[in-house]
Amino acid sequence: MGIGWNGKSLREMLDEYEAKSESGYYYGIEELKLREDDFFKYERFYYRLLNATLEARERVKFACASPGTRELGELLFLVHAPEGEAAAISLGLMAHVTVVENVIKTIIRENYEETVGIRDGDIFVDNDPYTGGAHPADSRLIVPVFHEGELICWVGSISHELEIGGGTPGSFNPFAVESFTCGERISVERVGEKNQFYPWFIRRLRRNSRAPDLWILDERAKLSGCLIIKERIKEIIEEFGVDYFKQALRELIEEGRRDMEARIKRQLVPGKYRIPHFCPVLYKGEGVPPHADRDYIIHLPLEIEITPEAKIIFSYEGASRWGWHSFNMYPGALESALWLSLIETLLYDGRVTSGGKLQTELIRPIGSITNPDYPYAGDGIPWVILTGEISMSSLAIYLAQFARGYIEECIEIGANWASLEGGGITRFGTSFGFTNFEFSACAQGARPIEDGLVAAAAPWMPETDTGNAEIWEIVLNTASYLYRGVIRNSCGHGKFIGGPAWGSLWVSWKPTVFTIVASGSFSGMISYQPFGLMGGYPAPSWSFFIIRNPEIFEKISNGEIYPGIVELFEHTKNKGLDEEIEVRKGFANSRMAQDRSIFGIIYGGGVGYGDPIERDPEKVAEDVNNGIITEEVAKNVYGVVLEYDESKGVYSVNPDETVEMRSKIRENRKKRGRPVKEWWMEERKKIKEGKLPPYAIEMYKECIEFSEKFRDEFTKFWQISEKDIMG
Amino acid sequence: MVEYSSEVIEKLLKGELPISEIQKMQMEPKDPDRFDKYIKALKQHVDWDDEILMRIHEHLYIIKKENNYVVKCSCGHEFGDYRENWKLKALIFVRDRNELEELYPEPLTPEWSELREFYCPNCATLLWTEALIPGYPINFDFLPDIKAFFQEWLNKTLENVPEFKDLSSEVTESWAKNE
Ligand SMILES: [Zn+2]
Repeated sequence: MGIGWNGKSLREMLDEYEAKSESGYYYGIEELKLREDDFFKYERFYYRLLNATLEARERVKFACASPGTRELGELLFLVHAPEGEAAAISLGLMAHVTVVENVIKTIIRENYEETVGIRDGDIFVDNDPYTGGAHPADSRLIVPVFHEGELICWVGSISHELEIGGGTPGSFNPFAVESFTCGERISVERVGEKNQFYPWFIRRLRRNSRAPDLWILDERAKLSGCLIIKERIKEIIEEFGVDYFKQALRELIEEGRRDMEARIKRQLVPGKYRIPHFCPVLYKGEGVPPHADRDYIIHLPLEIEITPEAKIIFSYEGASRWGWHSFNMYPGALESALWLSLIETLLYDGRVTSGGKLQTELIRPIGSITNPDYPYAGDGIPWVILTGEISMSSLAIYLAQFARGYIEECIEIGANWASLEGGGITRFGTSFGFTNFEFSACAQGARPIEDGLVAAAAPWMPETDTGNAEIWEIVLNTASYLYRGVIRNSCGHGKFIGGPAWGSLWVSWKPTVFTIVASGSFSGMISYQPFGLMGGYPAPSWSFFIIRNPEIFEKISNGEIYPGIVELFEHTKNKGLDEEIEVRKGFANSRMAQDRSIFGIIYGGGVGYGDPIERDPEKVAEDVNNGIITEEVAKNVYGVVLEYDESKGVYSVNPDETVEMRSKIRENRKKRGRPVKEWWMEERKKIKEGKLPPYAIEMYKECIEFSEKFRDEFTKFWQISEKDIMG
Repeated sequence: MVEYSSEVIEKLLKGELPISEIQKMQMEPKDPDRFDKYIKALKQHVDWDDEILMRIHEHLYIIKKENNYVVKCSCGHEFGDYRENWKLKALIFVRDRNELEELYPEPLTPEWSELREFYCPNCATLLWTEALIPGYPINFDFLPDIKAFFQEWLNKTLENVPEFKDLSSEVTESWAKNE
């Protein structure tokens, strides 16, 4: 007899679920009987379940979690049906809605039920992306919940760890070219029984992290949270009865699917949406193995089709092959990211369960970066790409909701982030390692009705912020904050501006050894968004910099230089000290920081909306007064001529000159703009003569060879033969 | 069921609805009759009389003109069949590195992507920008399935609706022919 419902094995339940869901309804459920019979009882049930997950998250976050989890709430709790689908999900790390499901399905398919048995009190942990997560930094802890011998449901949890070992300090290992150096890997393992961790599991974490206390604290936090939810589920079953519990769980999941279907039809437009984008890999000279030692571009052509049947198909046909880098995506993570974009744009006030996923389909070509056909591809930080996928997908939903007239709903989910990681040995001889998660406060895109927000939110965790600098200093150990602030002219310009980029500046203090690693979303060699919206501009992406000369810090100390990022760059430029700053518009591997080295990150900005010369001139003056843009940009990009009142120290609009300037800009556009046909002829010639930049040719060749679809699109657009590009 | 007056939708469209009202709107479920009221409001928004089927851009509309479905700018300029990427009939300008620094501060200036700007040939409004790798085909961002949308989702009858198909490559094909 199996441990599933009514004597079935979990394997039988999973097979049954898969067969029955082919009907298009979750588990073949065509009627929501409980909902129809007594709506309020059903709602009460759902909120009891949901509140259990919320309660767990709020209670353990402050009691027993690491500073990262505590500061930003990088934590999630879920309740899953026995075959794996989620029925209730807390706030928090929502990017992981579907990944616990994959772990449960692995437990079932690998038949742990028969080989080792699954018992009340067992604890499972997994952080292996190959099983379905995003990267090893996300550790998932899962416990089964039993009622009178039946596995009634699962409770799952996720947290992002700040230090997981591996080749470089932190949690991302962005220079790992195979999975083996991406950090400690726990692949669907039982790590405890009777609600207790095995001592050897704790020992394993202690031996495999540069900051093990943080990881151990988070595992304890998640276990405590799961146990809280288990208690609540017992109470819910007592109140509603076990039969109600089972049926309601299924109806909730199916209701999630219906909600999704209804919203697609109500708020979107069927058709094709194309968002091609790129991820530069800057590995040349960064200390990686010879076969990975090059700079190149990953091609990610996202095509979204919304079908007349209200299905959303995400296709990556034409994407680059998987590669010797740390950004390869195994199946579950990409699915989760794309699904998340729908939760955040369409379903945020709806029924979020796994059910809605049945309305989506994902095409991931085998062997591509979206579906590596090698089980040990580097997977340390596919979030570099995945977070971009959430953003890119939100751009499509933006266009659809715009066409539908719901302009107040249009939002580009900004995920233009960069991470400072580091570690080494403090001056006291202790080890340390960290990921500074302040980057979660990403700039957001402009909307058709208002400017985008600055330092606002992260798609993977919408309610986050920067966290307290003082708390980060605890994990940074040998570095202190000098500055946090907005960077001038870094927004996506437009009638409505995207959130401007912001940045931080740190100084290191007497470390014994301190190496820094920088990584992040699509790097600064390209624009973050592949397009601006309605004539707005895309935002620039991030960059990292370091100044090792301790004299610069001395100048800051004695007041000669204001410790702001813009001021620092201006000072070094004016004094001809440019070579003192190493600027990296992309991943930086193991930069050594000495005593009083200064280093910083400028995070990216949000996309702009509409022609900048249509921006209200008063707003432009306000931007200049607030230090968001400069007077020069106000004039050249926005066509707004300002006058400075020295006595008040403020800029105001000169209306007549502004009108004149704006009409001049229009005239100038007509002069410099050429018919596309003319441009096309010239570009075509360049392509035929092999005159594109080498990184571009390399990318086209690779993708044309790999994908018929891309080959056809490329050669048809340029009206060339395959040979013209392949040589 | 949530419903807004035509005046509210017009104000929203013109950017005259206070942000506090918009926030309330965002918190409510969506009003199912929005599309019709929106299209009605759009008629006040442009100076020409063609039948608007859909607004696909701050300044661009898909209109019905005799038996053709055409992209039209708010200024009156027409870009042709909506199934051909309208950008192919715009003016283009690609920024060089110095011209990029006009927009972004140096430590953030992109180096590998090329920023293309598309202007309306008539009113010179900046209609679109795209930042792609040099040599990348001009992107067709959004091709709505007008037929399925009106007939299957809105239950409206439309005459002579053309087949849902991307025709952009026919444009470049014709360019190559008369080269
Ligand atoms: Zn125009």
